Amino acid sequence: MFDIQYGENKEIRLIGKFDATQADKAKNIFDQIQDTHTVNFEKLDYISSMGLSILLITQKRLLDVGHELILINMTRHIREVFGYAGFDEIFKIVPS
Amino acid sequence: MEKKLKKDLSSLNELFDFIQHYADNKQMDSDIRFALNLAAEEIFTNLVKYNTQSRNDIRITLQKKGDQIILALTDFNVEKFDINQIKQYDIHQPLSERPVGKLGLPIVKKLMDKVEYEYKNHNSIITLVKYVRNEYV
Repeated sequence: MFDIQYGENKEIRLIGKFDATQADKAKNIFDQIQDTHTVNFEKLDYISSMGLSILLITQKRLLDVGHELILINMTRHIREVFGYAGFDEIFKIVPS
Repeated sequence: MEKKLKKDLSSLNELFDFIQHYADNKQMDSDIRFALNLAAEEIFTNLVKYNTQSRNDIRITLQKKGDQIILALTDFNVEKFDINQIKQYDIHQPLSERPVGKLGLPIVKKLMDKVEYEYKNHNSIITLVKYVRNEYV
């Protein structure tokens, strides 16, 4: 199960298992973001490259206009995947 | 253990169930489960997206030999597409130069200890190996 919630204070919460079948659901939310937002990974158990690509596209678009995604509360497994993809060089990842 | 899956993204849940069943049997820890799920998803979705010449089912097998967990995916009746010959993705590229996509394979290569490709009788066989401690039987 995967869910994405738009919370208060420009926070997006990712929940559950973000696999390739969930791309459209996530993209619908991320495509609407126009300025700096926090993405909270606290309740996310899993992410694959499809999810990473959606974050990458959003980050490119936001940085072009002086904004960004800030990623918080990653579990160890997900933090490692971000490292494998070199994403720690292009995202601000706040340690939990 | 072996299963055939329809070559479609909608089979992903069945793929995860297959891995979970095997991992439960072997009482595998969360690190190995996570690695197997992610590596399997990345290779499976690549086959769905890029090897479109046939719509035959994809066969997945999981087995343990000694200290190795071996996950193999076979794509039947397709042209050769050696994933080890794909130009390596540079994970240190600046954001502006990064392609969107193509992240799956570099992640698989980090998660697994071996990624092998074999082309035999018009079938692509991708074999992923993860070394584990020997308490998993």
